[in-house]
Amino acid sequence: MSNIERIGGDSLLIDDVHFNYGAGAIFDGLSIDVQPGEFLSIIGPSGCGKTTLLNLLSGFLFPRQGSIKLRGKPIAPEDPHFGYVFQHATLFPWLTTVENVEFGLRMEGNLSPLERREKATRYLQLVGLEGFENYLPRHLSGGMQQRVSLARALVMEPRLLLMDEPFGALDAITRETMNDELLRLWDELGQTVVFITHDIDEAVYLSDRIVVLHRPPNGIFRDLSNDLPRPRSGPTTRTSELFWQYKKELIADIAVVANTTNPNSDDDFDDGPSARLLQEAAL
Amino acid sequence: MSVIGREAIPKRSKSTLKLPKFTWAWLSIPSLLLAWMLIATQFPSYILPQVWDVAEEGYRWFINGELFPHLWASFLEEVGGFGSAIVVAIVCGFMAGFYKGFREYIVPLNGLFMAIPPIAWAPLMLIIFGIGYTTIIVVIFISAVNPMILTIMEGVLTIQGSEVRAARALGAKKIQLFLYVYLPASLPFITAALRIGFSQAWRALVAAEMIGATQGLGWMVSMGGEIGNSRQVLLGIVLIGGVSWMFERLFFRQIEKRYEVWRLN
Ligand SMILES: Nc1ncnc2c1ncn2[C@@H]1O[C@H](COP(=O)(O)OP(=O)(O)OP(=O)(O)O)[C@@H](O)[C@H]1O
Ligand SMILES: [Mg+2]
Repeated sequence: MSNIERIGGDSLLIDDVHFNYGAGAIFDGLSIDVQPGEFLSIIGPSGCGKTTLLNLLSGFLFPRQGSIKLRGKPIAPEDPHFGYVFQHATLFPWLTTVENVEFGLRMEGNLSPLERREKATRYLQLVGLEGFENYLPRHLSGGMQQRVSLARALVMEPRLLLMDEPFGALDAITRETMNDELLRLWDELGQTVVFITHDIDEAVYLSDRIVVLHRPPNGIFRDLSNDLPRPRSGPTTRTSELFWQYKKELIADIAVVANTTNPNSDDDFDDGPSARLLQEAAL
Repeated sequence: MSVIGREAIPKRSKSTLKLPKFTWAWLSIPSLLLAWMLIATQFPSYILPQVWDVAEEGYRWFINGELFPHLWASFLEEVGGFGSAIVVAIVCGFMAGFYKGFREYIVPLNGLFMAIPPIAWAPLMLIIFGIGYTTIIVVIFISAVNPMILTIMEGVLTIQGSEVRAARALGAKKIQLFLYVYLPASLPFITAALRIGFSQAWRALVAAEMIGATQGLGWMVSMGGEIGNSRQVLLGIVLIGGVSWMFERLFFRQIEKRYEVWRLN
């Protein structure tokens, strides 16, 4: 598997970011300093601005105030400095698996078609999909589709990987497999990861650090550094004392954050294109 | 975009040479012909000719070369009217899909034009353009362009925002987004629009030729009626149906089959 070189990660500095869509502020001076190669999970109640944060990091949205810097330089919206994995695999249904993975390289136009194909094939192998190159997305299972999305993002060798509840739609077993898979890849490639999830287990299992977001505009509720030893593996890590301890803490946090009264309750949360995009993707 | 066909489907067992499976569809045309023959026995040939009489009539038109100018005329008109409708519908359909303002503006117009049977325009066009190609092409255009615009617009609207987002996250710029996302994603409903447009155009063509032409398949039918030649009338009808059916089968069906593989409902 090691025919892929380590990519490495960039430092990410979110500095005093203010953002609002309309009336109410979503972020009112949010600051997070992410180390190169750090695996950061962000967890918080629905509507607290997790997707908004990723959109800010990816340059789809701009902060009203404050800055976002990647390796010390403000992010430029025009160049894709990041890999993005969406909640639901947004593969292009008219392209085969390998063509999907090639897509970014094709847009970039630096490689010859042959080199592109070869590179895409390698990344498909990396995510364990050797032999499925010529399948269409609809002939793959949900987990496999999400692997393809991952390969499609990774093939661009981004030094920052943004993941918005990437395994949220998968069943528990597949999700755990994907968690292990992601850790293996991250270990091998070393990117900085900002990982959004609703799932406490997932956050604790994967990350170096967990940020719990409060409802807007209250920002960070807790910034927890996760000292579970690596390499992690399901049976040992998930049953360890420390794992349970983190989990308990986070459950208590979430209970507090979720109970704070807020006009955007979980159920009638349905406005805004970014939210709608996710819902569309869910269909 | 290259691999949409066979390679893309997971391997199947080797297909062996077999007769296609029986379906009831096999009986539809033969039973119609049989009914025609039976009914025709009850009438004199100059009122309702037999199947073979019409076939013979067709053979005669074919042999003496009279048939081709008519087919050719209808073909040219269809190409002119339908072809220009395709171009306009693709431009307007995409614009209506992309721009809300344009959509709001054009949808009522589409509805209005679709409420008027296209043939109702023929007399006016005859007054303006006189008998000939232009009149017929304009009528075809009016009938085909409106449903096509709506179909393409609806299709563009269903293109998932998430696909566009994903493409942008992979570095696709504006033109690339159009070429590599919007265009391939819209091929299925462009095909659907072509199909609808073609059949609308064909109907309008025949109707318009019956009123304002000196040749063409529609003219064959109406002229046959005027001179009381029921063989010519029936031959015209068979040709009108046959040509349309051929296009449907050989062309649109085949294109559509290719997308069915990945098309999501
Ligand atoms: N385009 C928009 N216009 C206006 N308001 C928006 C827009 N997008 C999101 N919002 C609002 O901003 C808030 C944060 O939305 P966001 O999608 O970031 O939440 P989230 O934390 O990702 O939620 P979830 O966990 O449900 O995905 C919500 O209250 C939402 O209603
Ligand atoms: Mg979200």
